Amino acid sequence: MHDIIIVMKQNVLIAIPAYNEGEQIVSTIESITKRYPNIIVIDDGSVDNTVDMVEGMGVECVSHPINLGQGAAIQTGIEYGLSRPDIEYFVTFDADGQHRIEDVEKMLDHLKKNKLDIVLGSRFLGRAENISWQKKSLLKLAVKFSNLTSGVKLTDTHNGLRVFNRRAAEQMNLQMSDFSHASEIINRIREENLKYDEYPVTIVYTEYSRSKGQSMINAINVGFDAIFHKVVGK
Amino acid sequence: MIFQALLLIVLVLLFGYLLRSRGSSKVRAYKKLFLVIVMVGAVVAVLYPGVTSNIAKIVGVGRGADLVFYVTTVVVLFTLLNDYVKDKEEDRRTVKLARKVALLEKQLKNSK
Repeated sequence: MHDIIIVMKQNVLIAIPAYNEGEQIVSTIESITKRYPNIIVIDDGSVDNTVDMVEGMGVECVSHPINLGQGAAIQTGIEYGLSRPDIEYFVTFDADGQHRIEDVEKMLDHLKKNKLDIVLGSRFLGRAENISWQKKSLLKLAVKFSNLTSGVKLTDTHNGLRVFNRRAAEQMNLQMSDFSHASEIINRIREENLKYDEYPVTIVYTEYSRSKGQSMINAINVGFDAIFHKVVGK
Repeated sequence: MIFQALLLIVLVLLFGYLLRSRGSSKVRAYKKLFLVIVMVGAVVAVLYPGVTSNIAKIVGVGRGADLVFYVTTVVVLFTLLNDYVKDKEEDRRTVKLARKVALLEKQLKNSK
């Protein structure tokens, strides 16, 4: 029975961008390998032992020679997956342990059942454990901003957990290297008319994920990029 | 007043055009031309301070100093924006290159 499940998931690639995640990456991967055989960790120029940890587990790893940003790492993961004809479904999964693999399963089912191109995780439809009120209000603000500027209505715009098919992966072509990739993905949904939906997920904030998360002030960069993109078209 | 409004519109259009179509040789030529005109203007303004006042009167922006200030603001703003876009593009190229290196390295490792 266990083998059959694994075989069915042969065409799913879990892409994990990681930058200096040596502390957490092993337990994040452990939670996945039991269910999904194809994992690619995109090491974004880490200076700690991330790569050793990943390779020590026998998991595939691509290493950026220099730090490029999370968006760039996700795109590298996508291109790696596209180079493998056996991959039909792509999952982006954060390295810091805030996502749950159980949610991926449900999101994949949702995608297949409804013939969607992309399913985005939403912590506001689902649950966000131990979220600080500052983070929550900032995220809510980001959602309002995004809904206003992008034309794609969502309840959570900056959730790292996403599931999409090969067609969506081919269209993605992310150019924004840093955290603006979240808005870029939403733009692609509109530009390429991708069939999308959100799915409730649980995000568990730990001391570790909080320390690793992007700083709040970075929201200014993301907002600026979004407006600049609108005005100049670049 | 009408002239100022027109000037603003022309500037915005020019900015937009130059920023959008970066890279083509035509645009690069326009940028150089723009720079040369500004430089020549600066030299003239230094040699004949009265000229700026006269031009300012003709175009209706008040004193000569105001005109110089406007032009300077426009040039600085343009340079800033231009550099920002250039920077982003440079970034994009680096990312592409680094990604290629990473994926090739992976292939190499796998084929061993």
